Amino acid sequence: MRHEKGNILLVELLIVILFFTLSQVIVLQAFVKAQQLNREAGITNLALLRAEDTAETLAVSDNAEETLASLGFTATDGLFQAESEDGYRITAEITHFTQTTGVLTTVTVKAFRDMTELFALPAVRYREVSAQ
Amino acid sequence: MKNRQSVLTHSMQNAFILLLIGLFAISSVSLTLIGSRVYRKVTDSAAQNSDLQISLSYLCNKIRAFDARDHVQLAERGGLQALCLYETIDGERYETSIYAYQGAIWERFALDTEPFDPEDGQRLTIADSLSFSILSPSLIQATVVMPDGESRTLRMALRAGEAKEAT
Repeated sequence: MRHEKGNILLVELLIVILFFTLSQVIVLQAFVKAQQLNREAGITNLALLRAEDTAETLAVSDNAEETLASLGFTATDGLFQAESEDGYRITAEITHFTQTTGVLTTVTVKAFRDMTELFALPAVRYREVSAQ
Repeated sequence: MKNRQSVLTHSMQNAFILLLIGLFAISSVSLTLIGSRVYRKVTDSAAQNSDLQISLSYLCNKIRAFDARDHVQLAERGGLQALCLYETIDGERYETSIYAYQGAIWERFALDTEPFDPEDGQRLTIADSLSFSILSPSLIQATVVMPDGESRTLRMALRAGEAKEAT
């Protein structure tokens, strides 16, 4: 009778410990996820700042290709790219739309983390023909 | 003999239960410690990101608001590098200067002719230092350094006018 009582106590204790262990695992996963989200938010912030800087610099530049090169971008098959040690990649795609009155240059700045696109920013600059 | 064996089994059971409780207690304490560290790290990082973002957004919005010819200048005020923004109200020229002073970013709004005293301004947000440079006549770069040494730079293009270095 006493032996049986001891076993019941042990089983009860095991169930309680199992329950708490399960809770701990869930909580631990939540912490890991929180840290990961925080890190990703930090990377997105940095990428956004860099993309904004790039777009602002391009907004007052007369030569988009030269400006991108000076900002650390390298050209591959017409697409400008800059890798960051912080874990993001910025690309810039230049399109020129020439008309008789002037040239409209649009640079689409995109940020990627791994293969996921984070955002895209357009930087537009119009130059009249007489100003060239 | 049988009684002794029963006592031994009973003691072992008790020891096993104690061991389980001990293991559980250790894992609970370590989890709490890890959790608090992660939580502190996450909140610290979020607060710092927010402070940096606030400073940079504030600077950017101010410059956008004053983006006109001769309205944006970089100057030295009382030995501090300041971003000076000008506007004319009722025929009087006013200066809004933004500078870093005593571990914070300050904004001072006063008549252009009034002598500068950094204490006259309003304390806005924490920052160890704030510096500006003119990269090209229409491009200003601001660098904010936080108390822990982390820094961010922001470039702002002036659409309507050019920035100047003033005295």
